[in-house]
Amino acid sequence: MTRPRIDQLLAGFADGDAISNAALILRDTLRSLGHASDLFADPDRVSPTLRDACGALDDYAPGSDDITLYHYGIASPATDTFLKIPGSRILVYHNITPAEYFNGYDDAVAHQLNVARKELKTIAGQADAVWSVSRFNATELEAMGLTDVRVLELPFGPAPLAPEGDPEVRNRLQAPLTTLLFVGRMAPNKRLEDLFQAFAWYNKTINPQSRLLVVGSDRSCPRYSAMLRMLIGDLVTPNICLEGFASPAGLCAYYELSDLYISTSEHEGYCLPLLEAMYKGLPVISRNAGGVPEAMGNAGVRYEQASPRELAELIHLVLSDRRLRTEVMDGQRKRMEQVRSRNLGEEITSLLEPIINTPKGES
Amino acid sequence: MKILINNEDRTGELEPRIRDALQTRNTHKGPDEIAPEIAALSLREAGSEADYQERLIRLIRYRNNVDTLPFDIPNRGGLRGRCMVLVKRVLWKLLRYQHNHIIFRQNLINALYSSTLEFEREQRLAEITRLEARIKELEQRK
Repeated sequence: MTRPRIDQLLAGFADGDAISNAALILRDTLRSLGHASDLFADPDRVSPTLRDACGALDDYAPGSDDITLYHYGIASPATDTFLKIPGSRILVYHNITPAEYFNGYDDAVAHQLNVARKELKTIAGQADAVWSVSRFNATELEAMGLTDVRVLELPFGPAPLAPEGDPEVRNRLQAPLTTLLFVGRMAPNKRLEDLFQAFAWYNKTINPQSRLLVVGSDRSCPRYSAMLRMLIGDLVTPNICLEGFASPAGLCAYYELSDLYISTSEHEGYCLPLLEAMYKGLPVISRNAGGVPEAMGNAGVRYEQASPRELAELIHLVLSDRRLRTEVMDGQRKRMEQVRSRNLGEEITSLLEPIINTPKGES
Repeated sequence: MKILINNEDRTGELEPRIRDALQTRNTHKGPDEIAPEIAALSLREAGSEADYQERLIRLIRYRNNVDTLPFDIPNRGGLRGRCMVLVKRVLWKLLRYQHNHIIFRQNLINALYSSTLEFEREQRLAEITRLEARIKELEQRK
């Protein structure tokens, strides 16, 4: 039996982007299952370093027997392409950040997110199947009246992390300080202001020999980044280091240098850095929000409704209570075993079965 | 506050420990409180980019000056730690005179920059108002 071609459409394709990494893992898995598979995105939204790994959206011309997966998280020109496809269409929903987070910081992005949410029901309604990368996201779709939303948990692969940490980063940050780490773009839904306030209390009242590393692009919402810089000044806490975007080797070094990973993000569809941190052996603390419980599984530390001072004490507790730390690390090791033993090929085959066995027009 | 360890609710055990620890901390060492209307976090209340810009320019006015007040030098403890703190304190005393002069100049530049920003915005708003009035006038002529 000839296996159908299965391609993926993306709104953009960038280094360190969770959706891009997931698409790469899916492409490799699909190829290993015997399907021809490629990625396509608007060239204006593809990182220059990744141009070879991704075809141009305008060149995408699938046949009626082909299958297309569309990774959806924001309004983009890929939507029009997806809706005109003659073959089977699968929407992969990655969550749309509520537009309210961007009000005042970036009116254009807020508008794009609003449009994306309005379009979501139409696009999903026209797709032959709807997959979601977490149960949290699926619940959102079901609340819109969609039925038969299937969950394909966001695949995790350690590929974004180089095997060896960047020596330049290691040398620059070699001072023996207790290091807390956050990885992710600086966007309002990440609630970095909560993290900075908690860290200021930790640094000033509990452990002055400490620093907070924030690794991720500060260009995705410049007005929010400006607010955070002003906040660092207000808190008079120079040990908050905004490191910017990191290469795979740089990212690896940041994880290796750190003692604890912390996320105060309020809205996440899934949150892969939590798994990266577990993979690199760091205890993880995260706000219990959105798709975070699914990403963390039965592992790590999750909190709700903590003031900055309380969060600072929780950080201290996890770092200083050896018994608690061992318990957390044991839980995280089990979670990583679970992630490693996942059979993505089998999951995809099972999800594709009804689509491959029901040619377009017969459903 | 709710705390889950490995997906198990442990609030009952850990929250009292956190509360006890909070009572023993010296809160005077914590971050300074800033009046909410001039705090950086007030930018979160901006309803649009224009509103954000207006608030930002107002807040920058309060942050023009780099101060040269003494600051806490973290002490790692032990003889070496105490010596390092002493050396840093002496260095700060020696450098303060030169430092104050540099900061004086820097603060002048900062003040000029924020004034320029404010003038630029006022000029742009005046221009927009003039153009809007002109458009209205032209539309009425039709």
